[in-house]
Formats: sequence, C-alpha cells, structure tokens
Amino acid sequence: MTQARPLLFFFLLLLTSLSATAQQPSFPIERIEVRGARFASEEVVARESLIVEGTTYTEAQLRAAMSRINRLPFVLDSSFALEKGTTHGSYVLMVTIVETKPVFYEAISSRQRLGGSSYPVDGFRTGLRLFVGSSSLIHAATDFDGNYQAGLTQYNLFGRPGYVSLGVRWTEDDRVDFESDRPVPSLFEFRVDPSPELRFGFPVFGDHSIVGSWQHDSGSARVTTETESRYQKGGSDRGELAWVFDTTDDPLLPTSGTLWRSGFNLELYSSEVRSTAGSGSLENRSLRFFSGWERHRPLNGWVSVNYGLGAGIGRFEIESEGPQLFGGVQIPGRFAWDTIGYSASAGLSSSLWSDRLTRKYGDLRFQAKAEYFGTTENSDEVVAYGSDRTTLELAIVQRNVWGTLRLAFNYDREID
Amino acid sequence: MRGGIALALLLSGALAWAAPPPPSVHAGADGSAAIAISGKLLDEAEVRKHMMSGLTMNLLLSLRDREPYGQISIRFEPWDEVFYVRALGADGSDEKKVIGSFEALKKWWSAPRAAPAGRFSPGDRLKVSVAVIPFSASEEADAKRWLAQSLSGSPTPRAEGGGEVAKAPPSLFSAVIGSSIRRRPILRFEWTVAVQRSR
Repeated sequence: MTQARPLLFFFLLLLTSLSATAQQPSFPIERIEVRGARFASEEVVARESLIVEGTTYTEAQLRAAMSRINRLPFVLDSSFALEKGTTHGSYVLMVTIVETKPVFYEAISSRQRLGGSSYPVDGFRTGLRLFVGSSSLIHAATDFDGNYQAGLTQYNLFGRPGYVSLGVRWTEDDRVDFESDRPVPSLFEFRVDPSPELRFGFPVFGDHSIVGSWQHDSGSARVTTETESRYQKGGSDRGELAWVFDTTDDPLLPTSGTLWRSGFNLELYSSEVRSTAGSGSLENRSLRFFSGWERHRPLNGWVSVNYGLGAGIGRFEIESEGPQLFGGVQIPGRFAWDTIGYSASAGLSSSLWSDRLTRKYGDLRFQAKAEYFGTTENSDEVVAYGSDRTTLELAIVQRNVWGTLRLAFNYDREID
Repeated sequence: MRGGIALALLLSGALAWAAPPPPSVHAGADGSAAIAISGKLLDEAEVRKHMMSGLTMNLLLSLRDREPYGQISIRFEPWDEVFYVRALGADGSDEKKVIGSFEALKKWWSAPRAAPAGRFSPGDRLKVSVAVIPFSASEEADAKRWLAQSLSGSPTPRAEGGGEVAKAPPSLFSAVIGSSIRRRPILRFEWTVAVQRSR
C-alpha cells in the first residue's frame, strides 16, 4: 500500500494536468487580420497560419499557428492578440508581424579545419525578395562570384495553404589557364547551363507536411594540354520527396520544437567524354532513404540545447564505358554498392545580448554543434568499407530584418 | 564633458522616474517574509500591451535571480472586460479569480505575497525580479514534462547566507514554475531592496 501511494499520487496529478489542459480557454475565431505587412502578403500570412475562420482554437493551437507564421522566410517574428468579433463570444485574431526587408544579405566567414590543414571559407550573397500580387513571391540573388539564382514562389495554390516554387540557377562561364603554376601547361574551360529547379510543400495536417524538390544540372568542360584535348559534358537530375513534422519556432535559429524529416531522394547522373585518347560514357544512379530527427529545447530564457539522430540507407550504381577516361579509376563496366549511414548530433544555442537589444537589433547568438557520422558500404566486389566522421561548428550569428551574418569555425575529422 | 554628465544624469533620472517603484519586503519575527510589488508595473506600456492581448500573460516572480516564489497569470477577456487571474505561490497557494477592472487588478497584484521559506532579517539586501512572459513564449509540452518530472521530487533549495536548508516548494508549483523559466521573457524588472521589519 505504501508503495502504491506515490503511484496513486502520480495519477492524480496527471489527471489534474490533463483536466487543466482540457479546461484551457478556447476562442472562436471569426476573422484573421494581419498587421505590419508592408512588403509581405497579408493573405499568405493568414493562410499559412492554417487558422480557419469560424473555428475555435485553444491557446496551444494558436501558439502552434504562431510558430508556423514565424517559419515563413519573410517573417522574423509575430505576435497575436484577440479583439471582439461581431457576435458576443467571437474574436478577431490580430496577427502583427515583423517582416524581413525585401533586400536581403547573407554573409559567412568561416575557418574550416579539415585533417591537418586549415582554410578560409568566405561568402557574401545578396538578393531581392518581393511579393507580386497577393500570393506570388519573386526572388533573385547573387554571390558576386559568377553565380545567380532567380525564381517565383506561388502560395495559396487552388485556395489552399502550401507553395510551389520554380527557379533557375546559372553560373558564368569560366576559363582557367594553369600555364603559370602547373608542370604541364593546361587550359580549363567550363560552362554550366541554366539549371531549373522546382520545390513544393503542402501541409497535410497540423504541423505535418509533404515537401519535395527536383533540380536539373548540366554543363560541359574542356581541358586542353600540350598532349591531349578532352571535352566532357554531363548532367544530373535530383529529386526528393519527404514527410516533415516541424514544430520549431524559427527556420534559421530555432530554440524550441521538433523537426523530423523522412523521405527518399533519387539522383541520376550521366556524363560523356570525347578525347584524343578515345570516347566513353559514365552513368550514376542512386536511391537513398533517410530519416532525421532533431529536438530543440530551451534551458532558460537565454540558452537552448539541441540533439538529433539520423539514419539512411542507399544504393548506388555506376555503369561506364572507357573508365580510364574518368580519372583512370579502374572500375568494372557495371558496379553497385549499398550504404548504411547514421548520425548523432548535440549542440547549444545561446543569446548573447538582452531581450531589449534583440527586439531592437535582432538576434545575436552563439551556436555550437558537434555531429558524428558513420557510414558502412557493402558491395559484391569490394570488402565492406566503413568510415567515421566527426564535425564541430562554433559560430556567432547575427540576424536582423536585413539578413544574416555568420562567423564560424568548423572542424572536420575523417577516420577511415 | 560636463554636458555629457548632465545628459547622463538626466537620462538616469528619466529612467529612474520611468521604472516602477521598488517592491517592499517585510520580514516577520519567525524569519518569514512577504513581498509586495507596486501596481505601477502593470502600467508599463509593454506589459499592458501583452496583458490586454486577450491571451494569457505570465509574470514570474523571483528572488536572487534563481528562486521563483510566485507566478501570476493574467488574461483579459475583451467581451466581459474582466481579468482572469491565477496566482501560484511558493507556500502552495493556488488562487484563481475574476477581477472586474484594471484598478482592482493593480490592487490585487500589489498585495503582499509570501517569499519561499527561509530566514529573512530586517536590513538584509534582497534582489527581487519580475519576468514578463507573453503567451507566445510558453511551451505546453515542456510544462507537461516538468509536471511529470516534479513527481519524482524537486531539488531542495538552500537558503542564502546561513546555509540553512529551506523547505522544498510543492511539486505542482515547481512544475509550473519550472516550465515558465524556460520561456523567454519579453521584459524583466529587477530591484535590490532592503528587508524591513514587519509592522
């Protein structure tokens, strides 16, 4: 009886908790009104909240709707308030958003340490993101390094939440003359064709959605040396379809919530070579199933921790003719192998300044994340091969209505 | 230089004027204490904005930064123009009320509330803080988790100074407070005040 008492107490408190949840106040929402949208579309914000006018919601459900709005790429923050509706007991949900500016930037400066060597990775991207009409968003971006991207995202397709985004990426043709720093003088020219891409996402129910993407890349390269002239062209198609459960409070710097993504991706790659030494072709196919889970949990008002697990299985196939033309690697005409991969991660994120400063100047956060990856490869022809990799990232991130600045240190260690 | 000092003094004066008056802490003969926080805190524009949103706003009352001694939940009901309030106290109290006006709410808010068990002496300096947590910053799942965790027993806090072991707060209280301190406040008020002798 003495042992049963704590258990009884547990159930009593659990019942208290459940009844407290059931007794939560609920609010019939008659209408949604969005404020603070100078550049963003009020209609898209209202629709993506998944709040249906004429339906009753609890505070927890409204909180989930707020997180959905906060995950929109053009919303930095939002707040909710209730005002009286037209009939007694009904409410107008006032959603006030802090939106991003139509011109955005992303700056990264990091030091990567891989094996024994260290090298800098710096980049700056800027672009424009603008609503055209009530549900169409156009964007264009460049990294000032010959890479460009443009696209159109259509929200509210067929009057339902979700989006379809069509885009194109292209790279300026390049020409590198290695005459000065190579033993064998060579000229390397490459061009990348404009690459179309398609992305979509549709909520299924609550915070569950189906997302997918497809992208096509193609290009060619010509290498000319004193002894050989080689022309190679190739292209790849990559498609992915995934189920996503997302309750995080922010797409870039989440501090709470769960992100669970499971799906598959398919990649087809083909390449042809014409050279003074002969001709050949290479085809790669890969199919990979994956599942990744990550949880963000606030420890207090400043610090949150995150941890995650991931796993994937895949099958890769290569078919080639004239393999000596592809870097001289001796592979049979047809070669296939399976991979099993798994990962575990842990990290923390901490605000570096006060809430007043955050509201005024945006987030300033320190982020640390350690990740372990393990891979095992099996094939009929080759003995099973395994490799481990550990990464560590330490970063300071500043994010405001204009964009994101990231200063990072990355450490990457691979063990065969 | 003199102008800069004058401006700084003016600004600090303006800030001091703008900040709500400090709480009063009165210690009883048995070492217990009661803390009363001015109702002017609820007049603060940011606090009022969240309080009148029609959704629940929480105010977390703490001592010495880390010792919560109360949580006040306030929700304004626009149709009836009343405030639904709930006060959880470190002494295990759980008070729910409907208050009909803002003035009455300020009066209720500023009533003395019991500090966690410990030894408070007149003349001691004590840090009191109020964190304003809007509805958006809470996380229900965490509240449930902390409720479950509290069932396995809460840590026993230690009183500051003499090292005297204080009474552990009741489980439900630590559960709710436990989930609250994981929320990000929008505003925090802090004062360091002298403990006065109870009249």
